[in-house]
Amino acid sequence: MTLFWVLVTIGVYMLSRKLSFKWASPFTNVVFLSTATLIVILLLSGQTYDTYAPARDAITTLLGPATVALGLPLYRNLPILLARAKRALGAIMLGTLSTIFVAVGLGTALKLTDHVLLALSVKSVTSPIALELARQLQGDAALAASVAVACGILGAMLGPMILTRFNVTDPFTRGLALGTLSHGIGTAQAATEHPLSGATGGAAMGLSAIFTSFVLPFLLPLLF
Amino acid sequence: MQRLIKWIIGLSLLFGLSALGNWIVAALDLKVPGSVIGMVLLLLLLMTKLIRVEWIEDSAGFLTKHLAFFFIPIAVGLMSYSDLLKAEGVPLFAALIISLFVGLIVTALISGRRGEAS
Repeated sequence: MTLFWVLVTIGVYMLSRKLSFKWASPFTNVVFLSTATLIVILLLSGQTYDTYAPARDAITTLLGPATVALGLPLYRNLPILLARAKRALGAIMLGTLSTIFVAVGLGTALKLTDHVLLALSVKSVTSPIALELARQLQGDAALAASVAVACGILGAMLGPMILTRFNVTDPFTRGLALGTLSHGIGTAQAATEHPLSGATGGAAMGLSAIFTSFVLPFLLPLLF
Repeated sequence: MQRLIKWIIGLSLLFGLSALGNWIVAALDLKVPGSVIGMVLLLLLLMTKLIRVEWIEDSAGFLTKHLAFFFIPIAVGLMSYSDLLKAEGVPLFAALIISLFVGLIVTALISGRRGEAS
């Protein structure tokens, strides 16, 4: 059964990838399209997420090595990264801070419950860290991981469009922004645009995760 | 044949570095994912030429090209939150989209929209 759902996931992914090349639109984003299709398949066949869990575990064992592999584009683009390191670091830190303040501020104004607000504060980091951070801050860890995934998908869907609308043409900056705001899913999207974007995205997702886990314990008393 | 050997070496290195990263994170009680530490380790090993680009370029290139695939199963987990999404989905997505917008613009403005260096 595990193998069956792994194969279904691969099949859905390959089809979604084809569609995304044919019609480029936020709704043909690979992660969005594949996720939506798989959820529909599971629901229509009367299954719950538990049925799918073994396949998830099998596939996500490769997530670690795949993230490590981002070290290669990072190495290849190191001279450009170092040349712009100062502004890039400032951009990652202020980008992270601004998105946390806006998300939690707006969430408070819209009267979201406390556990959703806490999940929002860790939304920009990659799911495994969001899970860990939420646990340390006594929040709902699984919810935090899911909100982080939703944030990643939204960034991959809407991010490139928003950046283009604001005339952000530089591949360095596009990758940096997508990695900072939408971690691995944003980086995956950035890598399809340009190898340099994949490299800066990988660096940005790592640095923003480190920065978030460092400042959040100090920020939370101010936000709540 | 040579390609197959490169794939085996490459994948073993990537798996090994990921495991090493996880171990370091656990041992030092860091709040960073092990794979990010593994990414930094790979960078250092490439810089010091202890690992050659040719050994890993096929496998690492393939994995980064399909990075998005590995997030799909985690995203499917959203289906467990249908009740919460019905109750708080609209304000939650509003907060997510507007904060995404602000964060992207702030990051891009500081880093440089057109990129002086490139």
